[in-house]
Amino acid sequence: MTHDLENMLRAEFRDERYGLNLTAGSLSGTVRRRHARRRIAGAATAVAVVLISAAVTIRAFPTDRETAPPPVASSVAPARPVVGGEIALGDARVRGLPDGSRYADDPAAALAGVRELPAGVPYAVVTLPDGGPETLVVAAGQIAGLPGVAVEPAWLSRLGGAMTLVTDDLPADVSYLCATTPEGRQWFLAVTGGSTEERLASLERIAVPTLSGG
Amino acid sequence: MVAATFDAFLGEALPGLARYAHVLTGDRHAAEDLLQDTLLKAFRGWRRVRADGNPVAYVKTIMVRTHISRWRARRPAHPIGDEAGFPADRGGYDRIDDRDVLHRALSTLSPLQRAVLVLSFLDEQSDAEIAIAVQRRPATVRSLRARGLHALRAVLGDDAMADITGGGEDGASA
Repeated sequence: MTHDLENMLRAEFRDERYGLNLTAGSLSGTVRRRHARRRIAGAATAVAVVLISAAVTIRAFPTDRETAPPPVASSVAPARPVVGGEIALGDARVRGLPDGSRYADDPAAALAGVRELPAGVPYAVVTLPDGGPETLVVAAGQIAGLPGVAVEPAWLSRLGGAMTLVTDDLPADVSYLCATTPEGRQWFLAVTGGSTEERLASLERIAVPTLSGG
Repeated sequence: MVAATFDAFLGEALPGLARYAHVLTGDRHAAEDLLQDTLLKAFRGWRRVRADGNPVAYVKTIMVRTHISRWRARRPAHPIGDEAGFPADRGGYDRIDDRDVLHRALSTLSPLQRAVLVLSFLDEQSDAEIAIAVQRRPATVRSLRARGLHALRAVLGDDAMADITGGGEDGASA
């Protein structure tokens, strides 16, 4: 019975009924038009994010330094290099950043593909070195629900027992990780750009030493 | 020999990719949308696609992941299998073409289950290869395939299976 069904599926998937009557020329034109529209829309979105970010910064900027919000590493010094592959977020340390990582000099633009961030917690926006993903966002907190499709990379078992969810938002080219360590510390990581494999490799590189405390 | 340009690649690979999109979705319009979305991503990352050395396989992986991702984003509120018009009474199958029975039974699967079956029985990929394509563990792939086959058997019913396969009169069980 099992082999009968499997052979039926082989025949079904090879059936001549499957196929689309499309021409390469028209499809190529459609793809190029959509690509052009997307680039224009992306540029407009980036401008809007920068403007909104600027407005929020102006409104929220404290007049009393004692009431300043938690430190935002990305805003301390534009394009400052990440030293030793580590970032301090409050009393937590992010480890494993590749050589050549720098704090983003335009965090709002770098965050354009990231749909949501944890609120009211320290975070950093880092520009990764060339050749792979573009941006890492790391925060000492979580959001409820992650965009994209859940993925199960093998390295989830090497996170020191942390409860972890990893998702890939392929249309936006962003991969996310949310985790709670056995000590109760919460983490949010997002990596943008590059391929899914490259984004997951970046998450692994940072999550394993950071969450396992190694 | 890898095509030098996106257009050259598309000219060579379109029939196979279009067919693959249709097999994955089971629906002509959904297949056209999936194909466009997939090619848009391939176009945007053409240098990476070309550098991979096997652009057709690379683009098929993009297609599988895009299909699963789109389904997650637009997952219907009703459970899979409640599609309008699908016969609830298994006795109705004896009036339907055999191939149509399986075609409609496949439509009751989730896109992830269907993708695993397509990768298993059309592409004849190993569990490890499928796991990479659908971004799950090999054990999860085996579970998805088993559950997909089980669901098909449940929808088809033992009697329909025996009729379709010309199987035994003793009503072999799953």
